[in-house]
Amino acid sequence: MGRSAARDVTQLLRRWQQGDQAAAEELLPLIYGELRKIARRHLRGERDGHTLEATALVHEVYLRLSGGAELHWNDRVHFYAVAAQMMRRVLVDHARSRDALKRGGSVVKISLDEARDPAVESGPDVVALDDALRSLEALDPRKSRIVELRFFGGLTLEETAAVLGISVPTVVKETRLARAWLHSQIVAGIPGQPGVQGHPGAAEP
Amino acid sequence: MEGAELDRWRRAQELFEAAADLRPSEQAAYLAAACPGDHGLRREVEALLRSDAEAGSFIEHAIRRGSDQLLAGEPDPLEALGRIGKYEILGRIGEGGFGVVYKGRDAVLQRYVAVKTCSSSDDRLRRRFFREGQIAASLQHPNITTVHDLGVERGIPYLVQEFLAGEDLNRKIARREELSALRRLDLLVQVARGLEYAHLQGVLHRDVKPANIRVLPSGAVKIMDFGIAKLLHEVSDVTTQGVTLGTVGYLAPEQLRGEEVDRRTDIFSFGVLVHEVLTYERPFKGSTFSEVSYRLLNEEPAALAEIGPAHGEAIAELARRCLAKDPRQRYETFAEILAVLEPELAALRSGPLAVPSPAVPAAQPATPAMAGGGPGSPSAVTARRRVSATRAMGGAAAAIVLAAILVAGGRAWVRRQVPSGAETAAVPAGSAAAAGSVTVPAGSAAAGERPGVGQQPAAGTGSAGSAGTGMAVRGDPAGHGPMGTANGAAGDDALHPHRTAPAPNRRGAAAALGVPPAPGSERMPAGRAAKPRSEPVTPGRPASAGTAGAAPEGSGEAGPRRDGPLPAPDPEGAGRASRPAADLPGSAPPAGLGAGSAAATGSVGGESRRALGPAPGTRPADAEGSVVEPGRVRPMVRGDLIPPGAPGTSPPRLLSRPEPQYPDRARRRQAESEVLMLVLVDENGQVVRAIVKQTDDPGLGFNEAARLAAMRARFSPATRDGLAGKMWTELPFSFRLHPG
Repeated sequence: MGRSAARDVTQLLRRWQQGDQAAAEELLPLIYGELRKIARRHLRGERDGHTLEATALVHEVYLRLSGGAELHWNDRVHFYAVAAQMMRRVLVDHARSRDALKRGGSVVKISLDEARDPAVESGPDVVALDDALRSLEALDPRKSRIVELRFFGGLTLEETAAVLGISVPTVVKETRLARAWLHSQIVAGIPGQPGVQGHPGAAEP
Repeated sequence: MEGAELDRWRRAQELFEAAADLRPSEQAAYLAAACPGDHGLRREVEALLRSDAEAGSFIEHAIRRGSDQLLAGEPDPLEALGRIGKYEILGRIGEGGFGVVYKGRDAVLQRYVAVKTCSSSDDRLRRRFFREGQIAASLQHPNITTVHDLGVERGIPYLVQEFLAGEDLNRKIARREELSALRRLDLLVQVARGLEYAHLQGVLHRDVKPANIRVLPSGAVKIMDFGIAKLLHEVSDVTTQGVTLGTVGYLAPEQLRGEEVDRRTDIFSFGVLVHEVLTYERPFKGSTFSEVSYRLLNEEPAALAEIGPAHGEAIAELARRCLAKDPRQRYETFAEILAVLEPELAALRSGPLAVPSPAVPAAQPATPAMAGGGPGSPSAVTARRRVSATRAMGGAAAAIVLAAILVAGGRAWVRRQVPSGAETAAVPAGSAAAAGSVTVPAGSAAAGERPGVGQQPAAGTGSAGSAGTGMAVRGDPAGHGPMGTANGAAGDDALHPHRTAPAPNRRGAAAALGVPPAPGSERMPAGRAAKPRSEPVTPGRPASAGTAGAAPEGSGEAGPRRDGPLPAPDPEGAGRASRPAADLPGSAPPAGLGAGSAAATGSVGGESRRALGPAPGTRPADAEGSVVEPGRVRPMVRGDLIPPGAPGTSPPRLLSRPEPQYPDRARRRQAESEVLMLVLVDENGQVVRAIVKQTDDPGLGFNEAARLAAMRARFSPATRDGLAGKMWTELPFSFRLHPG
């Protein structure tokens, strides 16, 4: 009684805005489920054949969960912010579990778009990125969050700035630094060496 | 993060930012000058600058590959296997929230199935998948998708359900498929039955909407996807993650506000469904989330009567009441809803005098729903005309006769709707017997099928307690003509008042509307409810054993809202409690004909709540009696629950209340508080329930103190049309250390 068990998405978003991380956690199953559904529909070719970027996926999840209606700008941005976290988690979980399956030569088919950018096919994968992001989080949480919001959630510079309460130029500046730092970490292959300080665990609170 | 490390990181950032926009040749010189002697720092910044030049879109690419992998999906090991458990996999049919849904085939039982898998490796999601599978499997009703199996194959959990052909209701609506008034009403009745049943099992759906309703080619309706269903009483770490997120537009106001949900939340969503199915328009529309939310919270939907000419005012009123903003003004149970819908459907189907067609013999499987009647049946206009004619006759007796006739009609139709053996046979004999007491699938059809006065319960009552029993019972009255039925079952309730003139509507219309009769006002007719009490449990009444056990609890629940103290042998309570005994699973009787809905309520309050533990998610009002609906045929009866704002009402007036005890802990901490209680005042002016509506009690005991004080407050009872009734009202308490 008197328990305010917030259970709908706007409520969750508000709680999250007020700093309640558990609210973001509660969105996980929803977003996870929607992501899967969309992915599967995509796989069955029910979509128009365009490739879907992570950010487009997030947008679609958003459209589905909001019932096609527009949320307030503020709610929408915060939804994306939560979704960015979930997107990262979903992608990384998927990639990790796929690695864990170790099904020898069975290559995951990537046939969504035949004219692919070769750059996409090489380079660090999302698991490596995730590892590096964790290191960055230990060193500089805000920069890690900026990367999450902008790249996993598809938030614009302005939206990212609004979520974090910082200026757009700061977002620009920190994005650049974060990107360079993450790259140096991954290229170095050994976290914390010879790049900048702050390997995983070194600075866990 | 160590201070030194932070400093170093800050320094590295400064150097990076300063050097980043320089030409590479200038960068080296700058760094050499800027960090003399600190080669480590210099190397770090150089690495950053190199990466800055090389990084390009590596983040985007990494994410892109991740999402491509996700979209490409795993070549599902189960699919590759060609089988899951004992089910042969024939292909994919869809995607659930957790994973793939396959069409499968059970080679042994020679039937198609749908196999849902949970592809996630996330432990919480897997636990939820199982939990929801178990909840879904606990539901066995013709209007709810049947779960056959739940298992694990190669580490992947899977859920096997019946394979459903047909089309989802949202598609029909989107296509604006031409459906007769009869078909539409029939769909709604079936949905209401399924939900009634689920509620009686203690399960909320929480996402009732057309997309979750499958209409089979036969016309039968299946409620699907109890995906965010939740046990009414369960609190577990698994399900607390179950975020209720009905599609915007179907959310109840309390869901929008993030408050607790209960059965009435589903009832609200059902109201939206009623509106949409009858008009193909949603009652609350808008182009943005906030617009829809605003309307949902603040605006009345367009009146149905203006939109759907084929539907009478009873349905319009039904939709209106389902859609009440305040849950307390809604119906409490689907039994009440069915009490409105079933007669309307019967009228549409069978015409004025509702002559039932020969009943389906017990054991013979029949197509669920749509078996009889048809669009050619006399229209609702006829029904309405009949209603007004009856009203013109005036007097409760007329209404009662009408109720009896409608009931008979409803029942007649219901009888033709005997679910197929396949559907019900899934109920194991033992469990059905056990379930029998809690599973009153739907009030009145069972009432309809119950043998009449003086008739022995048919063989069915006795047999194994399996679903077949229910069917046998249902089939049994076959021999009775329409009048036989009317005399026998609900007619028993409805016609009885003629024999006992002084209190006609207690047992008649009141009963027909599912309002619990006042204790002692009348005895139950010999042939029915009293009987299970006096009789030993026969093999023929396996369920009554359980039910009899439930009786004390049931009456306990109901107790506080009754007139005065309960008489020790409580014929009414017993009657209601034993009611479910007759309503075996599989019988799908609608509505609170007679004691039906009371039994339903009691059964939830007592039996299933007992089974499931305390009910944190349910509001106390759940257990209260039916609300008297404005505009209904039945007149106000003393002791009725009066909805707020009903015309002709004066609310309870506070006469006295004790000063609440200041909690010691709070006093020690010099804490003050405001607590707003919501109290249910009965027709004698006594507070029978008190719940906290608003509080700022930080856990110092203010709530409890307020509750205790509220329970001892005295009121002059609320009245409606000059008759005292029960009513909820607010009672504020102010805890001040230095009053004044």
